[in-house]
Amino acid sequence: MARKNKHNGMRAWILSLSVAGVVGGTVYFAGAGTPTTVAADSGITTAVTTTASGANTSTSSVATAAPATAASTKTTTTTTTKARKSRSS
Amino acid sequence: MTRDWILLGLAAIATSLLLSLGLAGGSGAQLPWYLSRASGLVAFALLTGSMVMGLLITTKAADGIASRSRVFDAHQFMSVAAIGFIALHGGALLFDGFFHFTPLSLLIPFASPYLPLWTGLGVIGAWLTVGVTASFWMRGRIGQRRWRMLHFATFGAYVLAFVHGFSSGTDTQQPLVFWMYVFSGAAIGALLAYRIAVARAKRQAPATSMARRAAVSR
Repeated sequence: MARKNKHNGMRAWILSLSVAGVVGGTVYFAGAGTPTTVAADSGITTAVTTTASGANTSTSSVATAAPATAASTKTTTTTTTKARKSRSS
Repeated sequence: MTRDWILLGLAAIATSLLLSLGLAGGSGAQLPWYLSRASGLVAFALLTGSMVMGLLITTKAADGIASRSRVFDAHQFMSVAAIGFIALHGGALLFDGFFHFTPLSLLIPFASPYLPLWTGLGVIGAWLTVGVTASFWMRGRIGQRRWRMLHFATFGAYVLAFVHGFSSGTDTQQPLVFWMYVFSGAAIGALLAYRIAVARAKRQAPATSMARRAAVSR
């Protein structure tokens, strides 16, 4: 029992770092940091702008100028799902 | 391992679950997917840590740096923690809205709806990790020799986890994750090579001393 108590601090560190890793990783993935999400968002933004304006615009300029409308958000979700689908196949 | 630490481990997993849900937005349908990816990477890091500690014990490479009981405790504790986070990694997938995992598809190898081969290797690796970790408490019953033999399955578990993560993990292309795999593989490979060298030197040492004694007696 005495031996185990001696290592309690180290065990607490291991657990804390693991929890921090899971929380940090989840928050990071949920944000816009993942390549999949970025790629999917770019594609969606292009599609939305082309439909709205009918003009030929480049992907990058569309991505920065796209308004955060409900329509664009919905399309984002769809394309992200598609990206996951294609990745799984 | 005391019951208190098992409870604390479960509390840590629950905390990571709740904090992740809270900080990442809570209502997102993709959240189980993100949680599964994050906990899978943490479980792999813990498995690597446990392997490194185990190899430091057998090679005695850390003898001058840390006490053997401390290294052994870290080795054992990281194995148990890895199992907890493997459970979170698989368990989160049950709530994923895109892939329809069932408890059976998580427990039975190659029954996964997502990349069955690579995921199946991960399932086998997880079962091996559970078996080897459980053997810590069966050492007295099965004997030292059998326990050591069983412990070699750790290398199989690590290779399967590595292949599973590298092949089916969707974050392998991210630099941080990619380099984690590289460093993990390099560390385990280097320590394993050192361990083999140490074992060979040990085997050769008695033979050399016997030959010397024979030469002296002539």
